[in-house]
Amino acid sequence: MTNQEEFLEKLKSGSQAAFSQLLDDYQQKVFHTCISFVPNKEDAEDVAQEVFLEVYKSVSKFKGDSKLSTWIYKICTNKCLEFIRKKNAKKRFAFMQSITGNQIPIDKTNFFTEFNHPGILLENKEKSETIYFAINTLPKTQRVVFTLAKLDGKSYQEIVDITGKSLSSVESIMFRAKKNLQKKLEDFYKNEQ
Amino acid sequence: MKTTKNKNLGNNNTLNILDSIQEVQVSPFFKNKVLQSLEQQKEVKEPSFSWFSPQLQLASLALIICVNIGAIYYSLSSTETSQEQLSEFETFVQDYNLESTNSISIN
Repeated sequence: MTNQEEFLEKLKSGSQAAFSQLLDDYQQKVFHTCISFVPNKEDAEDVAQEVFLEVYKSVSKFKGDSKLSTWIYKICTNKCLEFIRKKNAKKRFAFMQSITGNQIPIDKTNFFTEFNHPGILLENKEKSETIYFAINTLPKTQRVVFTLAKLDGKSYQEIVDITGKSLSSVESIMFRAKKNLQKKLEDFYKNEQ
Repeated sequence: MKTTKNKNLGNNNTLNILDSIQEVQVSPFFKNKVLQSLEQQKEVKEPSFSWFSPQLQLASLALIICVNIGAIYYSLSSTETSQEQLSEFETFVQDYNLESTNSISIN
């Protein structure tokens, strides 16, 4: 039995020590992925927490047909997308309420969260916000691949493992995402002038 | 032409900003927070009937069904017996001419 298998068995048996070890190994990586999707430290930590709770709950169902890290990143990506979807739905609901007369203050930007990414320099904040806003308007697959590659710094091979798509497909999605983003940014700056 | 070039340059610069994003460290209490919420979930999830496992539930359901079927069968068979007893009684009454012909009249 390899170390990984042994560790997995311990996790499946509900060992607190194994889970603590998993947290030590992955908390930074998972949080980094979360903050790439959700550029707000508090929200990203909340999502990361949900990821680990889900891992603990579902590790018994993990069959080991992929790497443990890949499985965790898959959960992480899904949780981030779910968080964004829920937040967007809430915003739409708040917007509808503001139309129907129940005044709930909503911010001017249509972004799903308050932009608060501590890793972004102050002078770049405005431009970064624009990019994140543009990324959020991309189709789901493009958004996922672009975020994992460009913001989270994952290799194409890792993205292939996480998304289950072929390498050529990931490359093509990435190409289209970049092109779409450039177009969106062009339009944005045109409208600004 | 120059403006398009400038725009593209602007876009590329904007996208290049993504490379300058610094890594953000997770808060030092993150691990404790996760472990704490895990404990809380465990406490909440501990139901009062945790001993009543699905296997036990199935077994008790089977037992209840068996008892019910038994009760129905017993009640049906006992009805047949009582009818048999009644007919035997009627024959006995007829054999010994014990049938009452008197009718009670108020007059």
